[in-house]
Amino acid sequence: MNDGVASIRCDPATWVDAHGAALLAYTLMRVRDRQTAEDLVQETFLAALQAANFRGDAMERTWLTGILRNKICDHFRRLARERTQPGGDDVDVVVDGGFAKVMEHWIKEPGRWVVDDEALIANREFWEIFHECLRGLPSRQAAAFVLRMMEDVAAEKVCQDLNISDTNLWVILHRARFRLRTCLEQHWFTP
Amino acid sequence: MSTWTSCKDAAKTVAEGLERELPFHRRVALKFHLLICSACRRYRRQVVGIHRLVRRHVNESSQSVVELDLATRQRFIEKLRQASVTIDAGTPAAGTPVIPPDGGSSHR
Ligand SMILES: [Zn+2]
Repeated sequence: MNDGVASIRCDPATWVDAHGAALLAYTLMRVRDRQTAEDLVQETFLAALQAANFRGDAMERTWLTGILRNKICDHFRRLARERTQPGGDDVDVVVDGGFAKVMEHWIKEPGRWVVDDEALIANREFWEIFHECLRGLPSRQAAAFVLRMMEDVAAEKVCQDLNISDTNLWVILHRARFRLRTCLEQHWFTP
Repeated sequence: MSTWTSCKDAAKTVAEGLERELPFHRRVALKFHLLICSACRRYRRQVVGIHRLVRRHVNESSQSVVELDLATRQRFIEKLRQASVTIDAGTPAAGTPVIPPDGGSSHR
């Protein structure tokens, strides 16, 4: 055992005060449910405590975030496995219902709005709604979107995790983007 | 494949283009469709805009910090204390911690 481990064992409060808020913020960006987020951070601390290679230096935050990322990914993999869509992945009523049967034109065309990065990036209310929309996605879509888009997991890895083909992944991500756009349009851009 | 593309196809191609390099004929078909369809042009601009914004959000929010309320802080610390007592008592196994024989003497 090195000194780093011993000092944390002596006072976990130091550790929580140093990293707790940042790790929780990181998790809440991905997982909107507060309880789940706290659990994931808690699990991260516990896993870190048990790891033998703890160094206790400036790399601590990076290391902890690495553990946390794995926990978040596990969480979404679990979600995707537990709650598969009724009717499977063949159709998505929202996406497929968005186009006319004949000629496949938009039933309701996208509204006239643009994404203004500077106005939105620090807008708390906007992100509240974004996460609300993300939570409303079918679990496989949410899992694929968070793993691929937010956690930057490689596509092949996401396919393995969710047990789908790459063609399937593209369809699922397409549906996720379609639904997110529609949801944001309804609740933010043209309410 | 013909150069005619429906809006439904176009929407799918737009999303897929964010994931991978599309085959030439699909890129051309999308280009043609976008030339004549303002609805799909808006769709593409919005979806790409949201994509870009989310990427930024993820990168920038890694620096942001939320308030850690006292109760949460206390819960974290409590759990860690319990766990460290267990570990100190000599249970190197990462899986299921064993009840310490004498409560982990050295650190408390
Ligand atoms: Zn169109």
